[in-house]
Amino acid sequence: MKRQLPVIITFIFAVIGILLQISPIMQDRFIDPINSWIASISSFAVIIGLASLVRHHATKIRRKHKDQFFSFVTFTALVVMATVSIAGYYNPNSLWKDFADNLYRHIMVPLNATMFALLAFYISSAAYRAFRARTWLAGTLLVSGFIVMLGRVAFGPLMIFGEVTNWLMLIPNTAAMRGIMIGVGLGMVATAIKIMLGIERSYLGGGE
Amino acid sequence: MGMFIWMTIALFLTLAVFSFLFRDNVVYKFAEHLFVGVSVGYTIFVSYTNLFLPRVWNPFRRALGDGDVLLAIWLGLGIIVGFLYFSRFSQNWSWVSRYPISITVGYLTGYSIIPSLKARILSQLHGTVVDPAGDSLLNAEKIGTFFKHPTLHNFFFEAMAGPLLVFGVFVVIVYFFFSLKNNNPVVRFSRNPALVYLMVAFGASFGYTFMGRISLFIGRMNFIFHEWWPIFKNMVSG
Repeated sequence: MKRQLPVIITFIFAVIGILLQISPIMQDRFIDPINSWIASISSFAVIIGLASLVRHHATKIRRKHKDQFFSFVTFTALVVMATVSIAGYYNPNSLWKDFADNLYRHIMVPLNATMFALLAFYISSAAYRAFRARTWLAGTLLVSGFIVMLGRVAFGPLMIFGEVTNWLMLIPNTAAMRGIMIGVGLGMVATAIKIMLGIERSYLGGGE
Repeated sequence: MGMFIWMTIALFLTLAVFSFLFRDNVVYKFAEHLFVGVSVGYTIFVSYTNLFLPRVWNPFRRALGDGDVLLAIWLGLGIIVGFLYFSRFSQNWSWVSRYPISITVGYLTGYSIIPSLKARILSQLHGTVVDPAGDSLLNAEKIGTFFKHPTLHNFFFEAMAGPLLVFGVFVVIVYFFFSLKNNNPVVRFSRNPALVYLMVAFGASFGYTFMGRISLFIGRMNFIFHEWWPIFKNMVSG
């Protein structure tokens, strides 16, 4: 009941998933209701994630943690962003919509872009420490990275780096990534079959 | 004026995040927690408008309106099964949440097997045999073209592109094939070429990612110096 039944349910729904892919008749008739059904179940997973976040910050506030102010910031931002965006969705020509657009354009986008821009400094400092050309293979990695960095901003006589970058991205990069992707694909199919047959059960969590 | 205030908030947040380059500080922590809050808030909004409304609520209401009781019961059942996720908050009943998990995992697992096979294996193998135009990648005519016009560009982009690509895919696959012993001649022969391909690819990926981040940084600097600053200067000069 606690472990066997979920494994059986997994098998049944995996078979339904495969049948929907291979049978055009089943796909025509059942794909929309089944996808809606799965979406209705998985939409609750978002609430679980949200509840975990709320619980984490509520605990901090309750225990009067020294960083409780930041938990308030997270809460307020979450509630305001969700409420205003949904209100703007239902009132497209209102101040709510303008407010939601501004929250997105002037708070979320700059924060998102700057967080990733910050990584430029950290990957360069990490690369400085890690990219020691101790062996010729490490040297290959270093040279290839250097050429692509130059090639992306090449102009004038440096355009040769642009050409070399194109070739590196087109041939060796595609070949290596394709080899890796075929391996990943085989791994995904093998894992899917293991889950379907109940050999892999870690997604059910621990306990009885 | 309203727009300037919003842009000043964006400027403050940009500088707040960059202040982490100096050291961890209160302003950065504020920006970080604000980012988590707005991101989750936005995820709620997107899940509500792109998932819950079109996939669950609207079909449910339509089914009720059309008198399609069977579909309405089916979708209602989905919502009830979804509610079982909440059992995770109880220590004694947390195992009940395995049912919605097993339904979602089972269905998506079965549903993804064939697309994975197609997109990640068959299409990639197909792309290793023929190019997008449908010509063979091991095309002797292209090598012949190089001998008619012997340039470096023709050599690397035309004559050797296909053979090097096919050879690269082959050696990388063999490198990650762990069912053969290391002293197998094919494995031994392909080890070094595979490592060269992999190192070049990782280096190229690193350079590409790095330049992507740099372009984001340039975008932020553009915002400060080409969008915010001119407005600020105009306001100050009256």
